[in-house]
Amino acid sequence: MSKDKRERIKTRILILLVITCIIQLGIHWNMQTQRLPFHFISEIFAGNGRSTNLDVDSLRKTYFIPETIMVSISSSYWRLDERDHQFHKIWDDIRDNYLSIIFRQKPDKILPKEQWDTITGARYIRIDFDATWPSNVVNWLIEEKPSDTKSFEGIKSIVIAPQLDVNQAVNTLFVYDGNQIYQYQVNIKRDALPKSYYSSLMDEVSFSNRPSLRLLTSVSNFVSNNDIFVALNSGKGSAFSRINMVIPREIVLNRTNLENYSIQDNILLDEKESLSANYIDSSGYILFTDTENLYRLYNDGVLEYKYLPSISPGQDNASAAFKQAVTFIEQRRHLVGEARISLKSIKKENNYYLMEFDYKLEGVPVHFVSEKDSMISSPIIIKANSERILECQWIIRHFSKIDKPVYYNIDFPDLLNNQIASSYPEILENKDNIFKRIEPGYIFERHSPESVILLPNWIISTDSKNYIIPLLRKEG
Amino acid sequence: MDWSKAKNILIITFLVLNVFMLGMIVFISSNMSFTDDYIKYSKEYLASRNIEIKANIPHISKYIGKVFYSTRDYDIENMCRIVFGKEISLSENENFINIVVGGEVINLSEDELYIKDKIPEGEIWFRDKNTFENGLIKYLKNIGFDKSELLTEKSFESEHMKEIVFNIKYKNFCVYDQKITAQLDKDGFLVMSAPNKIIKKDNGKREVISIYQVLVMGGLPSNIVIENIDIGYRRISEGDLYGVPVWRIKLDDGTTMFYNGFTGEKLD
Repeated sequence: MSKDKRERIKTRILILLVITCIIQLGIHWNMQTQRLPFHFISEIFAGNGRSTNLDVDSLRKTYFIPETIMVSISSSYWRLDERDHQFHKIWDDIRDNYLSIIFRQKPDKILPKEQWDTITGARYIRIDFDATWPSNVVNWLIEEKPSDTKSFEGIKSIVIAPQLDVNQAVNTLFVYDGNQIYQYQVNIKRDALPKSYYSSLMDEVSFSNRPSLRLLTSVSNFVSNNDIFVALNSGKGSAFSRINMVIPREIVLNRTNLENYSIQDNILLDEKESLSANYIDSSGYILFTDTENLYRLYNDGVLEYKYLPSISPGQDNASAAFKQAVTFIEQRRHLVGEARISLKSIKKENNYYLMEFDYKLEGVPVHFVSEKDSMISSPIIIKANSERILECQWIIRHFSKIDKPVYYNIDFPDLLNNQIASSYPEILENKDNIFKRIEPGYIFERHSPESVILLPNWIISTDSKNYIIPLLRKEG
Repeated sequence: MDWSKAKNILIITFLVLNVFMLGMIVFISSNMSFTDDYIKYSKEYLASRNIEIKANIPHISKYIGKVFYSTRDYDIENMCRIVFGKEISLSENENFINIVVGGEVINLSEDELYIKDKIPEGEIWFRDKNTFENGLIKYLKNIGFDKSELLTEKSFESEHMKEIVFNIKYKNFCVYDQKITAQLDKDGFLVMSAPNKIIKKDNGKREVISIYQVLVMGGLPSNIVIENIDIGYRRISEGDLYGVPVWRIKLDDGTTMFYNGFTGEKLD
């Protein structure tokens, strides 16, 4: 055997020995109680990628999104939603170029909430959120340290009023936190949108073929505590898709999905091997549990989680609780398909935060009712503190658009005079109704079939009842 | 520098290191890690309470996983041919069935397969226990059980009836709650119940508590003789998808006790 050949064999043996040595080292590390801060072998071979750290930047873009942006001239309004490019242009600019400044800046004025109507009565751009986002959650999302300056407690709405200051380098913003209004004069950054963009936006939008909206209370005798906007002349109408909604096939409760570990992989993630499982076919649910955690998945796609030990107080930290909640959701978000999950509300309870999340598809709400005659509630309800998730109920559904969007008539007079008058005259007759919403959207029930096609409807909610009226296709 | 010599030295070094680590893994993985001192203390403690151990202590891997109880996929058409001697038309997707033809029965429920079958060679089986056992093993093979998964647990015979109970095995471990009970009467009627579950892959390996800890902490009564100790699998409650390793302790008076292999908890 030539010397070269012998040396090549020796090199290969050496490489093999080094590799086996590394693997055995990893096995030893795995067997230790006191481990190094990395899982040696599991890092190499395992990892479904769902337990990785969350990227704040992607969370900001996924969750911290307004419900609508309204452009107003006097009493006329035009709505921009997630489908409009201006929506993203405006929101990206405000989020990236204004929020960090107003968190550090002392407000020029603090006004009582009664002045909200005065502020919002002129030419302005108004950004509304479903939830009042607590300041420290926003701070975390925009990666800004909390400031010492006295500031708002949360963000419910932001109004941009470019006409209030003639200086082209300064823009005026109002932030409403549900209690007070905070006025800021903000120096426009060099790479921000110019002030002229906001000044001309009202005219640009008003000349577009977009439905013009009015406040419900200004055009009817209907009573509402919320600002409900309705279209008096919807022009070409509004486009909506049909949605296919199913219980995600990975978690449909059956023996096959249990035996091939599909349910365990998608629901329990890394805990799949440590939890015991109990399933009786006739019970309609499977229970996964250990001494601390209880997961119950029902055959109608509802997941319940409960942390069993008595609740530890945790720190009073909304952003940490929010992070726990979105981590829980994000690890399983692939199950919901094309739907976006948006924060509906966040409330401080005794020693935890109660958070409600809704589904949206292309900015259109997908409402949930537990029973046919129940009031609308949130499909994801999470209780969390700064340390962990304490409880969760999640109606898990997978959403996908079926076809291209089709235009529907969203004229309020047509709805009122034709559909409501013929189908639900009691809406007109009962003067005690207080309206919570009149808007196009989708709706589904907990006990809806395993697979269902959702069509856009008028969702009319009073304080005691929901009325679901199909949207009519725009003719022509 | 002479690279050839350096490689030789490195190869020897890594070889020694690999052998050393392999030895450590084998040593740590076995139950030998439990110190001799504790074993000595346990034996003294048990002797002081007049607990005699006549059983062999099994050597097991320190880490054992849970097992998954999956639904057994019986070939019902084949079973009909075996029991009734003919094909029976079944409706599609029928998971649970009950077929009665004359005095013969096949009943398949969520947990159990029940068969009542007039065996043509039943009277021959009845004459001799071994013939019955061998015939039964062949019969079970025909309906889907492998000989390697059967472990005879007990047998009983009287003038009118012979009975054999098999335990199901999974990778050399007994599955205590999965049994096949077969009774044969002198007319050749076989009545058999078998589990409708099959044990599949194990997962979630965890450290199994040592039998010495169980013997000391398990609350055994004084003045007893332990005749057999083994480890197998069992489900803790009805409906559990996973079975966990359990220690089984048999006393000379026939009492059998089970202890959860992960927690040491005594099971009902």
